[in-house]
Amino acid sequence: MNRVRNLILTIIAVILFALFLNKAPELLNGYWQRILNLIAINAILALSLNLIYGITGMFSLGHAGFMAIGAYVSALLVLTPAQKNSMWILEDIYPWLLNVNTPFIISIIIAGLAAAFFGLIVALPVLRLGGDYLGIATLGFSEIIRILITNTARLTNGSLGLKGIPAHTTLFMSWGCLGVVLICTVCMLRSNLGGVFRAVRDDEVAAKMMGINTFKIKVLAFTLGCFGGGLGGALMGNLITTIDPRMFMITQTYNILMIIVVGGLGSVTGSIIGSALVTTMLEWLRFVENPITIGSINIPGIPGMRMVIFSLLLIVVIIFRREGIMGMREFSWNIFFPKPKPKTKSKTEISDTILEVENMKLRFGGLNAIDNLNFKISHGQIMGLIGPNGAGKTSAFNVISGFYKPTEGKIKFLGKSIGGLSPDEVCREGMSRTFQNIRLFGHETVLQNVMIGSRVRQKYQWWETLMPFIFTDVIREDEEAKTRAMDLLSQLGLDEFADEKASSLPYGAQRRLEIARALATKPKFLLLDEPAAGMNPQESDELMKFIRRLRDEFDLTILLIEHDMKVVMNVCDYIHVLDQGVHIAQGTPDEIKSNPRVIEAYLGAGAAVEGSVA
Amino acid sequence: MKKFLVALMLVLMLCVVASADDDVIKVGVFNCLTGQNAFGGQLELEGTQLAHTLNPEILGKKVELVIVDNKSDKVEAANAVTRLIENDKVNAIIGTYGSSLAMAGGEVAEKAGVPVIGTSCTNPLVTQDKKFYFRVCFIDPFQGAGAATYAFKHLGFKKAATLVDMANDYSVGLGKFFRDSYKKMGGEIVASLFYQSGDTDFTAQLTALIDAKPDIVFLPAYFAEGAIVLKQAKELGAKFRFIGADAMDNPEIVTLGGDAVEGFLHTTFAYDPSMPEMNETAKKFTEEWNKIHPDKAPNVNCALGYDCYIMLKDAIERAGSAEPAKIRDALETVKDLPTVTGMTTINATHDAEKDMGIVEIKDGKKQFIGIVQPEV
Amino acid sequence: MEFNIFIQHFINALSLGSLYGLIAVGYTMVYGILRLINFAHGDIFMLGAYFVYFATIFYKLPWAFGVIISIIATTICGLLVDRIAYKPLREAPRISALISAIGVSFFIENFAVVVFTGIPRPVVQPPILMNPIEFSGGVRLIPLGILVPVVSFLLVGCLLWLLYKTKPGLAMRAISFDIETTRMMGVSVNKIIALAFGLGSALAAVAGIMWALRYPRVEPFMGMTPGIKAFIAAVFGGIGSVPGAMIGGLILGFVEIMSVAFFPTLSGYKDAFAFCLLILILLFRPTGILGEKLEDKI
Repeated sequence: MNRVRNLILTIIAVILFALFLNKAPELLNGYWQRILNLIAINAILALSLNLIYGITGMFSLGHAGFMAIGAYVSALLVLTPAQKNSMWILEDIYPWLLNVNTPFIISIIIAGLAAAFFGLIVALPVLRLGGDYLGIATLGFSEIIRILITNTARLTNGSLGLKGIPAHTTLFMSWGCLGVVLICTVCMLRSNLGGVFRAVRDDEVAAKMMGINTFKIKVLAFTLGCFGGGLGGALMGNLITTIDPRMFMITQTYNILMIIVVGGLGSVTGSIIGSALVTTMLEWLRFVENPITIGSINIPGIPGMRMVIFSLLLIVVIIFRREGIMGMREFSWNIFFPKPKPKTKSKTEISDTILEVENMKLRFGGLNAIDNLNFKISHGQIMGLIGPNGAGKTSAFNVISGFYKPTEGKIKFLGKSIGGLSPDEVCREGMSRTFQNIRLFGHETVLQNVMIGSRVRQKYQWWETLMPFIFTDVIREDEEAKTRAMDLLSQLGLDEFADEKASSLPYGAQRRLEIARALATKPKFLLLDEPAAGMNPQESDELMKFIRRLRDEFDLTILLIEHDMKVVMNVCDYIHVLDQGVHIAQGTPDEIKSNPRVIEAYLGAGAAVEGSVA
Repeated sequence: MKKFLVALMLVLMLCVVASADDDVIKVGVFNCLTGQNAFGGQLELEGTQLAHTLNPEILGKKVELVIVDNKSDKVEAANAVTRLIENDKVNAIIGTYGSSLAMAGGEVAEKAGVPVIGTSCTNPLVTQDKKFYFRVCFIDPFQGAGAATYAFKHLGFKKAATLVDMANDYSVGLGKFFRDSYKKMGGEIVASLFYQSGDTDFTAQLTALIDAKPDIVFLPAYFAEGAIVLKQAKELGAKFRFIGADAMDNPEIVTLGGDAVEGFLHTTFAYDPSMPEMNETAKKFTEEWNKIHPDKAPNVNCALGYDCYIMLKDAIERAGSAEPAKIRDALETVKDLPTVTGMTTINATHDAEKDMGIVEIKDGKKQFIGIVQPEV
Repeated sequence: MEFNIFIQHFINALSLGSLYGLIAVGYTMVYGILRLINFAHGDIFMLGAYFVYFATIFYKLPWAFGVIISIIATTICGLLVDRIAYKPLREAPRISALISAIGVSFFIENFAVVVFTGIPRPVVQPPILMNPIEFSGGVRLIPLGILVPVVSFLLVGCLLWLLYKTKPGLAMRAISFDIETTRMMGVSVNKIIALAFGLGSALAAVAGIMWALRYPRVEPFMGMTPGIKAFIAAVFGGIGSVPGAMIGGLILGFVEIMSVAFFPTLSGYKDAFAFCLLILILLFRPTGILGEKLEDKI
């Protein structure tokens, strides 16, 4: 219902705006039309950088370079042979380039694709870098692009630049492009794929465990962002009608970065508000450089004051609204309507050796983290893995779930060898896990966290999310994922929190949410890393019941690391004990309780006589 | 705090005063008053302002200068010109330093049909296919050929090299035109080296030049960079001479370069405060300039800024109207107009045809040597 | 290439590289402690050069005196920048502080344009530093060319001593490791951060002064290119590591000079060489040459 209402409101708003654009030449003079154009172009640029940085969390300082590629490709395609002939006054243009000519629309699409192609080439090697190193590497690439453009005069006319580009960027063109980019971005970000992008930003490790190939997602976001950068650059070139390499220096990237941070990092709405604000502010502030008359006092204009005041305003805005204007929030029609009560209550349900570990060894340099571990888990078992601190339990988990490669040995999961697979591949095979230090996607809602988990089981491709109204399976699959996620949440008693931020949940609920998220990947085998950590006795009692219920209701096999002996002894069918990487004992809870080696490992030599572990 | 800021904004907004007066001729000036090229734009603005102070009325109407900064940035340049035309409704525009900025602004003015007179945008592309763009300066091919002629014919140097700022259209263009003319005359180019705008260390290029042993090096740099190049050349013991172009014409070059600029030559517009025989316009300009800026000698940028206004005044007077289209037509027929930088004639491509001077730095002072006629 | 020409290039590279290194150290100190890329560092460097210009040319003070005044004034400016633009954002997301840094950079540059105008100004070069010494084979050296690397290395040496042998240095290293724990240990974190900013700014001032001596002109945008280059040098070396910054600076200096020296026809691609090398180094050592490895704890 809300959806239909919101759709109608959006369509009305778009029509009103289109009518306004249609009337704009009469209502506004050329100066304001130009500023409107710039707002749209800056918004496209901001959206695309926001997708890379704000949403997927990759610090890129290379946007100016991709803009340059877009601007040049488009300009070279729309310029006529006669114009090209007269412009290359220093070097001769390549003959093949002279006669290339396409209509404007095609040129900007090719411009975007060219930028995306270069983006892809850049992304494949450098996206392995993290944080600020990625920023500086992308900055390096954008400078290399600029230097290449400057030096390849036969192709680009070098530092002379290009001029006389037909002014194709009309208001309808720029806002139309923004409209298309906006619709595609919003659709994509609203689909489950959008959640996946944000998941990569919030916690890459956990995202991997949700079966997400994070590198692929990062490359995808980066390439799409570069497409936007190229498109924006092309529109900019066709607005200014002349381009040269010096337009695309690092300050250009700073400007876009400024817009997205002022607007709100990660917020699509913020990017648009930010670009409107920064663009108009810069122009509006021009008056401070004109002579000003207040009453009888005459202040002569001071050149440069505009930028001084602008930079001061920028600092003030950042200090007083550090999250930007929108923060991570988005505009929604719902803010004009009272929030309806959520009502969701419905229930639906969800080989014998599951996992076999043979002679598994893990060495870090000279340190033996795990020395020769062997065990098997059968279908429906709950198995415990215990041992004192530093025994290698979590390391074993990390090897099984694919974060570490075993130095030696075999791991067979459902009869297939998985040693050496990456976490996301392991997850796709049907394994999931939780983490000792809870790793939720903190900025996402509880529901979104669970839905991200189900992305690995969805079938639609990323490009379908750009146009969900055509590829309706996106909507259908996302609806299914949502229903399932709500089911999981209600089964785990989390449904009341569905729309809250994951990081705002109480500790116990966060633990359960992590399990719900793991279950959303439809695992057959679940690894729980210290689920009872930080729980009081009452909570851990509930946890024991819960773990058993999990196995029964979801038909799971569970491997569990736990320090709380009460939980281990009550819930596990079988227990393995590790000490300093060595597999020292195994057996049923009763056997373990009375095993002297286990007691020695926990309490030190000589303590064995004093009694049982539990 | 927030309330205070909002209040501050409101006060600032109220300060925007718009004045509309029909009996005023509005002349827009767009130039780079901030950003990388501020040093040039500020001087040109001062020249234009001086001309305006001396000639506050044209055709009996008050002239109002509307000054807009373009931040040495293309997007801003286009915005600035649009603002002048659309918001301030100017009759004509003067500007700017930097050819790429002129191209961005020129497109807007062309569409709106407002004439623009360029100060020192010397790239041939600026006025190409433009009906409304004019300039008081000559263009790069002419100047490149002039420098080559002087080096080869007058000084008799047979081996030359160039050191060019790869990222600067002005520098790249001049370097190319110099090399072409020099080779045509029969000279040899022994090396052509590059740097990027913003560089400050040229020792690698200079050492390579020393290795190539030219007689003279053509250095089409901006004066601030050029002075540093000359300094470093002296430190490295370079024996060849340097010749530059009009962008090296700035009184500061001597203070920046010290004794390292001794013997440095550069082509320029036919004006220098040291000129022995100045025309009337130049004399008046120099006198009035020295009254206002007693501690700062004028240079060609100031003179070109001044000349733009003079040429505009002449066109408006001949047209008998301040209508943009009529000003344009009158500008096309400027012939032998006495300006500070010599007699100015606007040719078919809207470029100024005027004499080219040669300046040498002798005894720590700029000396105007004479006029050169490019031969190729 | 003849040997004497090579030696000449070598000396040029050493001098340029050590200047880059010295500016890079300022970046790296602030980054090591706050994980903030201080984009305004290049502009602080510019202020250092301007102060020495004002002291010596404008107020005609003796040269050595001018240097001291410049270092003090620049340090104060650095501290003010920290106090006004960064301190309120200590708890904020890192990008906010980064944008604030960009804002500060715009502010200082444009403020300089308004107050100092855009016209480049000359700098006094003491003649004793400038008289060339000629060696056999045509190699020439000015005393300044030796002074620059010597002063740079000495200052970096002092800084290392301070970091590893004194209490405040220990506190600085502790903060870069874990700011919260350090605060619990009773260390006045804000004072130590201010100290780091002060030291970084003082080093920037020294670099600015030496830069202005070596390339004798000051203008409002003079900090932009060296700032970016030095930042790259800091990343080369592994940002956060003081010796790394110095090594990075030297590498950058050598690449810039030697690429022109060996491939004069490709001198237009000079910066591209440097950036390609940067990216290659990062691909093989993702945290720079001496940067600490970042392990994501699972």
